Amino acid sequence: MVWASDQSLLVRELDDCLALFHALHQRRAPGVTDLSPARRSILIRFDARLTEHAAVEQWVRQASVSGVAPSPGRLIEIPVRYDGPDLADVATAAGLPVEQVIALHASTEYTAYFLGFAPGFAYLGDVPEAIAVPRRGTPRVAVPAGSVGIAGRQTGVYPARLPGGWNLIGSTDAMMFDEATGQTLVEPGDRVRFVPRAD
Amino acid sequence: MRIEVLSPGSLTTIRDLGQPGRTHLGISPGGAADSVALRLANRLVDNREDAPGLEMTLQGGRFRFGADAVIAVTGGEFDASVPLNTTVVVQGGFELRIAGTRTGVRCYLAVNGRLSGTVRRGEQLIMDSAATTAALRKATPYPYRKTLRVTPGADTDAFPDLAPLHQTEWTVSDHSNRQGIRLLGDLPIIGAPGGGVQPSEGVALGAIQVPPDGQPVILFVDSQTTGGYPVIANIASVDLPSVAQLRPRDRVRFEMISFAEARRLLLEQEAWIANAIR
Repeated sequence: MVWASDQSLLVRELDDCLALFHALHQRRAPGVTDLSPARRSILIRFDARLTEHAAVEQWVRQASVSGVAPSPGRLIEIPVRYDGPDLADVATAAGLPVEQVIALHASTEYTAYFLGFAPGFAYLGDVPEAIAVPRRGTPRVAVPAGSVGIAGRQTGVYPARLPGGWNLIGSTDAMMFDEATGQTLVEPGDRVRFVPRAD
Repeated sequence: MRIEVLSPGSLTTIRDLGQPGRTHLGISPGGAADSVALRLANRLVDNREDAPGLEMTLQGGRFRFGADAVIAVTGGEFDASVPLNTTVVVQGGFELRIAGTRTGVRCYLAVNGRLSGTVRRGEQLIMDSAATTAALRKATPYPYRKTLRVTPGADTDAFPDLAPLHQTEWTVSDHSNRQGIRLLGDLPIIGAPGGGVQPSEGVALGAIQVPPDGQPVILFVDSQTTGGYPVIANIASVDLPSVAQLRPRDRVRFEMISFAEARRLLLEQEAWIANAIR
């Protein structure tokens, strides 16, 4: 565990980040305000007026050995039109017909490993090796909200108009983040499927 | 009671102390950039410390009060038509004018009651259950600093040399906002681990990231919740209000302190806040 600031610590080199995230989530400790998982780490923010590093570390150690059964996560289906501007480039890079790229992307059940970058932006994996095309050399200044992209073994949906370098293969009307309610469609640990739609 | 927005200034918004507990959804806690200034303003008008107030940046604004009200303005040294850091009782029809700032970049207006609405020219802000009299008090002006205390950060041990961070006098870039404060220096920080890019991880408030160009960025209250640049150090929480008051072209230095010292200073600051109103 690394002390990342005077009010946070970072648990690194986790093999099963989501299991620890859920264990910590289920047994909150006094003064801990936020858990921020990434692919292999969790940043824990706390209020130093209420607790301190040593107490938080103790709590993490207890949760690590507690063996809480990992939650299977909800299954979320996201309808997608495979009409993205980079779909042909992805097919070329993968050496596959476009239909095959779509079939591979849509036939995989993804895990939402973590959210970051922007409210509601879920990093989903793992994209099948055959279509795991690296991000574009030059990022776009503005990617439209609802764009579905691939970057290596990760896929995701841009919840808002944002800059971005992912290969855009489709688009969705699903609301990934509702600013009015503060709700996100996907949470860490959820399972996600993309369902092709024709129109 | 209503407050008419005659002129909203440049970046005026309603802010409270933020909403933690959602970084796992990619949502930053947000809240007032200078939380100490908002807390003091609220205390001066007998609000809860976490009540929403107006955060103004670089340019204040003009506001007309529809009825008598109890107000206070804190934070940077703005030119205002009321004394700063003081409880003020204004009468119905009073026009509050807040212009530019001599030092600092943000000020906070608190009004007794519960504030809601949108800060836009011609709109009315609504104050529920507003008092019209109050004990008149003053707040000791907060001692904002240009030498910022830092602790080690997530990747400090991976940097071959911390000297450029300490020895450089950094200049605050024009491209600074609530997401991040960009710093420019003559000696970029070289040798960032991983060539300056690594897998995304959760980032702490006040993390000092070093992108490949070696010019550091302080991640601030509206920053992304994850980041992929190595973190050389982290602003000590006690100096986050001072970060909030940095203006473009200000010059700053960093001073490394221990975690124990950072905690001691934070608790000392809490005691200072408790005693700052007289």
